[in-house]
Amino acid sequence: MKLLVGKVSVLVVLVVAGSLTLDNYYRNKYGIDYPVAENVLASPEIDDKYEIVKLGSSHAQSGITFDRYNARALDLSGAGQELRYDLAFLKQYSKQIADGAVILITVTPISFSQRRSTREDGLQAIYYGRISPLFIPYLELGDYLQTQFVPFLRAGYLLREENSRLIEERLSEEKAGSYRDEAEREAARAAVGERPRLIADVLLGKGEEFESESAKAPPRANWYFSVTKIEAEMATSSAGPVDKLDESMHLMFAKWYNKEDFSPESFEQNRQDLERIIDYSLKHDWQPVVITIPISEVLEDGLADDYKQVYIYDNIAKADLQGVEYWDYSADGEFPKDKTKLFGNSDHLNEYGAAMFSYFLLRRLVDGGYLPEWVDGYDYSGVME
Amino acid sequence: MLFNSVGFLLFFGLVFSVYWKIPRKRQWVLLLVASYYFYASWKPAYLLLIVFSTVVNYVAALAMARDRTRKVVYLVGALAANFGLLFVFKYLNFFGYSLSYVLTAVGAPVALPEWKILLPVGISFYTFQTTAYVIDVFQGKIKPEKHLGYFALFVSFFPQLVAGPIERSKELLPQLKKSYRFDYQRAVSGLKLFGVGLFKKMVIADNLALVVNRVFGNLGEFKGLSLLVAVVLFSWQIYCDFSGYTDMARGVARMLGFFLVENFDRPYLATSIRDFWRRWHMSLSNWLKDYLYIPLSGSRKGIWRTGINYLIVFTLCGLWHGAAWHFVVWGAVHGAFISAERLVGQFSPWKIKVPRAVAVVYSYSLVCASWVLFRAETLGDAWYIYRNSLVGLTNLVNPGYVWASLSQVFVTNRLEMAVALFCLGAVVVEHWALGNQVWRQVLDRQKLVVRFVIYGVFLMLLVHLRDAKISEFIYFRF
Repeated sequence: MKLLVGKVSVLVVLVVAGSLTLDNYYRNKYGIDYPVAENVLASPEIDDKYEIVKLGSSHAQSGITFDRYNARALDLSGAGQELRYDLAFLKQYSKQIADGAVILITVTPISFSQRRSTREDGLQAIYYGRISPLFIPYLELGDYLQTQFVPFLRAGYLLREENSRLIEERLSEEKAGSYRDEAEREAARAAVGERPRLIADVLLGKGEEFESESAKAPPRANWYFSVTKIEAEMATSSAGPVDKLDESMHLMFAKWYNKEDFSPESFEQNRQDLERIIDYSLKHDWQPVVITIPISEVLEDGLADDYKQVYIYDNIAKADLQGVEYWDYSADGEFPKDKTKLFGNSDHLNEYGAAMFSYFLLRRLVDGGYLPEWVDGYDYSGVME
Repeated sequence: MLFNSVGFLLFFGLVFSVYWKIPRKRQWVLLLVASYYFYASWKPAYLLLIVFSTVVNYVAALAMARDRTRKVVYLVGALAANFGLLFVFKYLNFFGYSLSYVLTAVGAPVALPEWKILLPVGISFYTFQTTAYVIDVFQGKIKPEKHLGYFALFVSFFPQLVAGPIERSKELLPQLKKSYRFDYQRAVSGLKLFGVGLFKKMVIADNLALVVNRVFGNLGEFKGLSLLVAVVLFSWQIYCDFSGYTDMARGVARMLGFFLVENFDRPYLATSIRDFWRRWHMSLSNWLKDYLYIPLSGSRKGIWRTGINYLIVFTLCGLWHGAAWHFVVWGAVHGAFISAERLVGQFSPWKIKVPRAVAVVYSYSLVCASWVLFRAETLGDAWYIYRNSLVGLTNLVNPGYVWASLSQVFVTNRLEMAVALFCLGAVVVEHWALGNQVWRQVLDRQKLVVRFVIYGVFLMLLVHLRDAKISEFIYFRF
């Protein structure tokens, strides 16, 4: 037996040496680097801990900005992120979150209905290196080891993938002259861009797919954070053209009513996940708050009249929130959701909308005693006392 | 867990290490526990099915031996349980759809319920294995196994549980009852066989699959030579996929001391469709011969009845492969080919000795043509391929046409083309030149360093030519 193990070990060493050489060639050729063995355990304790944490999906990603929050802020939101991954992130960073920190738990119109991902969906792969494998459901051990510890074993595959991608791009460019119109050209360009992404891109945060449309808007202007401007905007009654959000509304309607991905069958599981997040937060002496970020009136009008009641409020009512407050900014009167200029698409705030919404949220957190006044970093110049 | 997964490597590494350390009389216990764990790793609920099947067949066989007057009852009961399980989990919805379709066609539409039933892994294999066992006991060919543990291990033995080979009790049970010492040569032989299987599956089959799936997934874009190339590649893909898995199963078993039957004997060297089935999935074809063809009277009642028997056997063989009409038609087509060969052989006034090369090409061509039915998603897709695969073939003399067709199939990716050519070359060489085992003797005679270099290169090719795609999140919802 020892002889067999010994010989196999020699072969393994040979293969590792060869693979490292090939991997080095691949990385030098394409200028690629990828982190190795990150976040295998929960993140270690730090001195300057986080005082406010954002959880949730793309709604939270694009809808809340901590730019003018004078507090150490941690963004743990992500596109398509399920509630159970919110909890996984909390566990990952638990030692870095200060006592009394505010935990913003966002629930969207689809938080309770979205089908829990299975192993076959492959969702877990985007969390490798970001969350400890101990917290990831359906860990694929082989995939995890190959991306985190021995990525050089994929060098041959990655070389061929990159070669394929470059060929697709070249083909697309060669066809450029033969497109009938601009729409066809754009469609082809988009098709090339939709190639399966290298896991390296994911880990390095090169996430085109994970940016909502609002993130593609022009960078935030300082005046977004002017309270005077915010108050002036609130004082105007103009709603804005609805047609720019129409197409998005139809898309959302089709998606959110797709029973394969979203259905009441998932309500109970997701409620339990929400309860676990609250329970975990309270046990760590944090201050969780459950919020729903505004969605556009265009979308609300497109959904069934009782959609929010069934898909959000009934679930909130049934969940054991343990006294944690629920702030519904999608309710009438809470936010000017008829102002289409504040939305990048029908269910996501844009940069301007996010700055405004984050102001209202900040004031409520301060007025409610969750955060001290000095956290408010918005521009009050010109505001009448 | 699949044989080509990290999980299995860890699992088997542990089993292998412990197996040779524990008292030899307890080896079967470890194997049984490991087999149940292996099966439960797919889905724990599946264990109930295999345990049920084990108990039913164990009890039925013992009952047959004790009470010979009622052995028909016990046999029927066991068969009903075996095939009942198979029907419910594999064929219920298929027959439901088909019945619905027929009723609708005759003007009596009925909405039959669709059941959400997951197909338990390996059920087709262990059902046939246990069925063979009870029939052998019924016919007095073997004595029933009294030791429940050994019998349970026979049913669930993990190397061959999910994809065969289908073992006969008189071959496997005696082996399971023995205890084994570690044998270096046997372990190395098993490891090499496992490695070859891994290469066939992960390198050859998976790389050819990329091309095949591209064509079969977008059939409307391909015609002529492109379709033919895809069909030929598929013939080697399926061979390497299946035989590779069998090699892995046999290699794993051999490392533990067991010898499983050969399942493939260079099937594409067959000289007729009948010969093909003597070389392809041999454990299945032998099972069909012994438990279906011969009970149906085999070839004892004249040529026409023989032809009908072949049709029945191979139609059911097709159905066994999958619950869909294109599988059924695939099987029936093979039955028709074999029947036709027998008829021609019997009634043809000309007794011409066909050169072996011609016979091989004939057989391979027919097999490839029938693989279209096996691979296509629907009969409609298969018909599209048949109608369009010969389009433009007169242009074969034009290198430009050939290159354009290949470029379309491989999306002008010369690297992919080279990899596919390498894979094809490797498996063709294995088929034609290496089948006589001479190469193994040549390899074993080399110096240790040379052998290590060869094994190292082999492993490097295995690691870096495999499809190492990480299951990635498809941003489908938002």
